[in-house]
Amino acid sequence: MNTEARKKALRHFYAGVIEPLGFKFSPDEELVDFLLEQEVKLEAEHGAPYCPCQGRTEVRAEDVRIVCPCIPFHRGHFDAMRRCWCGLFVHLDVEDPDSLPQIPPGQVGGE
Amino acid sequence: MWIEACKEGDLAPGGVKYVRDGETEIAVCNVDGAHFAVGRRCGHMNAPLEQGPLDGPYLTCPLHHVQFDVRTGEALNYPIDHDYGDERPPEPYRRLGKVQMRLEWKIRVHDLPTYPVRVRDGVIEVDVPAAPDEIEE
Repeated sequence: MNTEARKKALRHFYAGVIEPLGFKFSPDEELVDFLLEQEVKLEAEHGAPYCPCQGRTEVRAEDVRIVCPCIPFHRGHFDAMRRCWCGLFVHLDVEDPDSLPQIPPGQVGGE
Repeated sequence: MWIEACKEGDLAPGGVKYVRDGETEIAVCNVDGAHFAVGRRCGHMNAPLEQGPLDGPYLTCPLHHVQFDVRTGEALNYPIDHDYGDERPPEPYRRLGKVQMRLEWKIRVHDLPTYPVRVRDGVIEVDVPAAPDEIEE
């Protein structure tokens, strides 16, 4: 399969989901490109574009919660950080994604 | 050979129309006002693609969710098996499912053929190659 073409397709599909949720792709294009490439590889191997920074459990009910874009499943945590775990998506008003903190899940409500 | 697919107004943006010329089956797609024509049968297991959703230039097969770029005909991902969740089907179906899965993994996914499209006098036309027995010697 053509990785570049698939990356473009994933961008297209994700954009339609994340923007109504108040997120956008990170302004760090290099990071976005790298993460999408990992998702294409995960999709080819495991059947779905799982989050590249989360481990799969092999329990379906758990694993569907980390299929990108997983914002609806972890909204409270991502809103607190103003980004998703791997930094692929950030809040619409974020211009400097490097300045955003990573907050452990235990310190955030709303999960 | 140019064949008439439909009137321009009959195919809304995001719409897909099935057209047949002899043995050639074609899916004509309206991508935000631009028209593209690809083979109607999925490059995986021949499912009718006009029954799948067209999102931008990406047409998704309704059977195993292979996605194609209708501008190039290129297959963009591998098929996804139906997942029935944690509820296990009865034994005969489970055995059948295993066999079916094993066979389906052996099936290759092919790109779709693409066909030139034009709009003349409000009619969408597709250039379909003549069948070998129609070519004059």
